[in-house]
Amino acid sequence: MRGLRGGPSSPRRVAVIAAALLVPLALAPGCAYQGIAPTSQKVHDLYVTIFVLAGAVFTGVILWLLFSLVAFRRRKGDEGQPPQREGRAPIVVGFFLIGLAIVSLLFPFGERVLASVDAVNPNPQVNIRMEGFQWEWTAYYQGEGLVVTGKTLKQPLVFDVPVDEPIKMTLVSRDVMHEFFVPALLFMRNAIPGHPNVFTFTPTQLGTFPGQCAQFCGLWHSRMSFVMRVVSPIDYQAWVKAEKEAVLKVTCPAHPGNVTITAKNISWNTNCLSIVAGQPTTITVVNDDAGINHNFAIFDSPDRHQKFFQTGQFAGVASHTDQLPTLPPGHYYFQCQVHGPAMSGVFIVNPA
Amino acid sequence: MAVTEVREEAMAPSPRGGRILEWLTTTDHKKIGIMYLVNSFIFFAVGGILALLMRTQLAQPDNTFLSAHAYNEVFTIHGTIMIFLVIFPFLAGFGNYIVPLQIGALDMAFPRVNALSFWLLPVGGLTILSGFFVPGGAAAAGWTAYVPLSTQGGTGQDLWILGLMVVGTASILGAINFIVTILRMRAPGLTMMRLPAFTWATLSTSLLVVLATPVVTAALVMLLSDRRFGTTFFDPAHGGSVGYYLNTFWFFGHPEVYMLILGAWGIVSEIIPVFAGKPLYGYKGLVLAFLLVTALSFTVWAHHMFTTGLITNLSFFSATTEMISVPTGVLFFVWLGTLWKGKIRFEVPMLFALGFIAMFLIGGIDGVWMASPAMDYAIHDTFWVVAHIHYVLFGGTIFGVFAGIYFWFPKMSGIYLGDRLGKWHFWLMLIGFNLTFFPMHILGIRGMPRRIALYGPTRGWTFLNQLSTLGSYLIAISIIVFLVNLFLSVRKRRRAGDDPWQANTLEWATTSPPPAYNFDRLPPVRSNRPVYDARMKATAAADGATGGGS
Amino acid sequence: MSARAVDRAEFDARAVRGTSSSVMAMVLFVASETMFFIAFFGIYAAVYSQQPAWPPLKIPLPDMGLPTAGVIVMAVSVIPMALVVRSVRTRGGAGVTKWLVATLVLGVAFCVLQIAGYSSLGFGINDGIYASLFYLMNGLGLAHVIGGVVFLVMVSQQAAAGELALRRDPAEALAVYWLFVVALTIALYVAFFAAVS
Ligand code: HEA
Ligand code: HEA
Ligand code: CUA
Ligand SMILES: [Cu+2]
Repeated sequence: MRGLRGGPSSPRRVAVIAAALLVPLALAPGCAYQGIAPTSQKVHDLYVTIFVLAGAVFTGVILWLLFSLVAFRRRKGDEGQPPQREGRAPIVVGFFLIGLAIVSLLFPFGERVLASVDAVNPNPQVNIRMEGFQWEWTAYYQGEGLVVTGKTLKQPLVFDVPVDEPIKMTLVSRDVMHEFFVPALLFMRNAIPGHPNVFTFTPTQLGTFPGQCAQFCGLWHSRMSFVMRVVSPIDYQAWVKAEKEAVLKVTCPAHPGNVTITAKNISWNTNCLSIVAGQPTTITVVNDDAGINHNFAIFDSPDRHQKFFQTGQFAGVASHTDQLPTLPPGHYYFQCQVHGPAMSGVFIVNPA
Repeated sequence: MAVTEVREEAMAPSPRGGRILEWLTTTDHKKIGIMYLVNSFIFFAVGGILALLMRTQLAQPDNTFLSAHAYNEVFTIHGTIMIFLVIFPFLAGFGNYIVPLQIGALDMAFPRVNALSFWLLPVGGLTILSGFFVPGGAAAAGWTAYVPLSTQGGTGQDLWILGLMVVGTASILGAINFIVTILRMRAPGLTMMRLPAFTWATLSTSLLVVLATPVVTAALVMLLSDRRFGTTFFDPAHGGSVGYYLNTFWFFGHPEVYMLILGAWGIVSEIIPVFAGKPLYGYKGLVLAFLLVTALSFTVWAHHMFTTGLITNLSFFSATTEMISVPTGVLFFVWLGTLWKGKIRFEVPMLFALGFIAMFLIGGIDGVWMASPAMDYAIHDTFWVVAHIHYVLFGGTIFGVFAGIYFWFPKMSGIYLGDRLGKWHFWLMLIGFNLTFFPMHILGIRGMPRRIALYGPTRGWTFLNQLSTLGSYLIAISIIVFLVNLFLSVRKRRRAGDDPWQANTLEWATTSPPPAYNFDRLPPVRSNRPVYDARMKATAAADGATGGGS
Repeated sequence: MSARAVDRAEFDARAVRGTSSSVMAMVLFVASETMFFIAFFGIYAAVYSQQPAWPPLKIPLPDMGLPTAGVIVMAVSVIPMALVVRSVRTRGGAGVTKWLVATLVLGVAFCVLQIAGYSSLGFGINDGIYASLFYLMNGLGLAHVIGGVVFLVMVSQQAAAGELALRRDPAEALAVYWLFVVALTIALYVAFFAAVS
């Protein structure tokens, strides 16, 4: 009769494959990041704890399965029936209890780690408002009056934080959902329009840690990356100072009469525009981003205390020309108000 | 063993044109069931080919095989097609074919509604796919279509919404039909606690569909209205909230994933006892577990939103999510208990069922990490999640579906699917599958986010991605082996009897394939294994007649 | 085992047991529809609890007259619908057409009142979250009542053809659905007129 074959070779093959499966599994715990903050180390430990418990369940079930397959395979010529057991109630109830026991063991571990990861430090030393937008990050250092940003598709945001100091981060979004994710911190949190999210962490390990947006946010989600550098407090102060000065240090030759600036792929073609004081000058803003809005505005400084000029927002592909106001000689700051510091630069008015 | 004899008129071939028309207009649950399966397989090939495109793109860092936009369209449509037009309809197809037979009914309760539920599927599916041909392309906001991103896209996103509404309506109609059929059309003697496992699974799935699917329809209505009619449900600038969408979507979304697995649990719970030669060990526990999973699945949705900061009672959702492992675990113990001291035959359906147990176990255990919110903060939206969903959906349901195909194909056609190629298919798929999806766990904990078209060469993700791509080609080869096997088996026509596997449930009491009216007469139903009982009685009678045997 | 003799009686018995399948299907359909509206009412509740005033300040409260009349009409329509059911259950369908038509008249009256009452609102669909909820929930509610009216017409035709003397399930299924739309209109009325602050 058909259907009674299937010799011992099959179970042996099953065993080989399953054993092959167990090997990478055993290596897996070593792959997780250790964590660069005390809280993230706890998450790492949680990973290992679950690994041990779940690994035990996995190994137990797989061994039970493999044993059954080998021990209870039908041998050639054996046409008899196995005993027709339907299961006794206490054993079946036991099935429920096994799972319940494992869950009760597991759950408290997670809870403890959760409480410490979610705890917000009341005395943060650095206070960053991290803004996500399509497709870049901008960090506003609230205490230092510093704004740093990446340039979409060109250069990721690089921001520094001091080691061993509690950092508070407020995540906001200007358009769609994004997600701040640093793998080495074993942590991510969404930036959601209309719902600022706050968390604190204290990095205890110096280093340069890549991160990126983890929440799918459209076309260039894959390029919404950033770099977090954990540096010594002295280096941190130096960095803040240098960043603040850098913005206005750029120079470029003056174009009397007309300046032109082009937006493409959510960035400007230049970070410096230069004109001559006292001469009537026009500005031509070219928007090469199909369907995306941009505009152009001039402020006193990156802190934007005072606004001197702004054009209307318009979607690409298009260009608009406007008359610039007369400004006293000096260094000014310009940006696109839709995309903020990610599209910014210095605006120089040279003495006549 | 069959109590049904094939009547001449049922076997008479009709002219070809008439046959096609007959299929297109049929209300016979068996023909509809087969159409479901064929339709699902076609969409599986489409979704699978899209997956191969993704895997090819990810094989190299900063690859230019697909543009970023194309990649986004491809994974969105891949996920949508696989979930709504492959897995669910595969299980509904088996439900259509098998459930009326298992309960000894003539047909579904509402045969014409049944045909409608089927035909709406390709309509919805093609609506979604047609997005590729409109300006701006297909939907590209992920299968979860999170706002505000999904309010941005073009016509393709609208087509996606409309297509899903059609598919959702179809599944609600189908589910109502299943519930009524199962509750009202059972054969005499077939009490609820004698229902076959697969029928119980279909019943549970249908309850989930009836109660959860309308909720996503509501979310889609609001999304469409926000996009096109100026409402602001999800716009925080005008009193709405992103959270309204997320909560509504996942209130459906989690029960949805159990709609995608219950049927496969049912299939496996049919196959294991047959090839172990024993009844299910703890049938009542199994039924209770199905019902508990069904009920609990409405209480866990926010585990998809742990990192959003929108959920205040993470612990509650963490606890409910971990609790779901308990009834799910019971299923494993029932299967293992059934194998215990059995006489196991390693036929192809059994291989797939055993593969299911091992692979779904990994997928389920993956879920335990994510169920712990602090842990999820590290792996949410990474390839860990991608690994999890494929271990449960592919390692789970697709293995279950192939187990079902090999198991019931003889019933549907009267012929066996080949043994040798079947085994090749299984082993290639098992190896290819693990090669594709196991490395994704490590990519996940090494921080590779999901849904990225590009990654840099310096992140250390390249090698694992290449392994994974290699594996995906191996899966494709295994599917081609299956198709070849199908082709050769149909040519060779190795006849299967009415009850080729010595099975237990009523579908094996009629001819293979069953006549249009299913049964002439039913064997008496005194347990949840009526065909087994009948076989034992016949053996005893034969032994009695020859005066021997034990 | 030979089985030339088809055991038809057995199948017929089951077919008879299956006659009120349509009522069960309707109950399930209504359960599904209820979940559909619960999604909207859930969001309504969340918004309601967050707004300082309801309706929000810049939204004028719609004139209550016609909607109030409408909801009363709808509530009253339960009576003829109950009589429809009684008629098919205990009287072999005698007088059923009369009560169906009465329900139909009330249902149509509700639709007219609703459309008239909402034809000149002081706000548009894009005036924020209250407007979004108002337009979509009431619009979907009205669509469901119109669906009920169509259903009523269909069953009335069956009644006219004398079919309800033989089968009571069309009328019973209709009653289940009608009860649902009545409850829905009342809930919507409470949400948008009674729950003001
Ligand atoms: C078939 C579909 C299916 C199934 C059955 C499951 C089953 C489970 N899922 Fe999964 N899930 C998905 C499909 C599915 N999931 C999909 C598609 C997504 C992604 C959606 C998206 O974002 O695109 C997802 C995402 C997802 C998340 C969100 C992750 C994130 O985005 O960050 C979580 C978090 O908790 C989760 C958890 C679980 C758990 C705990 C189970 C449990 O049911 C598993 C239970 C099983 C076991 C645990 C194994 C056997 C048990 C034993 C042997 C008993 C003893 C063991 C213990 C008690 C631990 N799933
Ligand atoms: C049931 C569900 C299911 C199934 C079966 C699969 C199957 C596969 N999936 Fe998919 N997947 C999802 C559900 C599923 N997936 C979901 C829900 C997502 C999330 C989407 C989102 O983020 O929005 C996802 C996302 C997803 C990603 C992540 C994308 C990203 O986040 O960047 C990847 C990447 O590798 C992937 C790969 C694959 C592969 C290689 C297969 C393979 O196993 C496919 C194998 C099949 C084939 C290879 C078909 C072969 C057929 C032939 C060759 C026959 C041809 C014959 C004819 C034409 C007649 N899937
Ligand atoms: Cu921003 Cu992804
Ligand atoms: Cu879930």
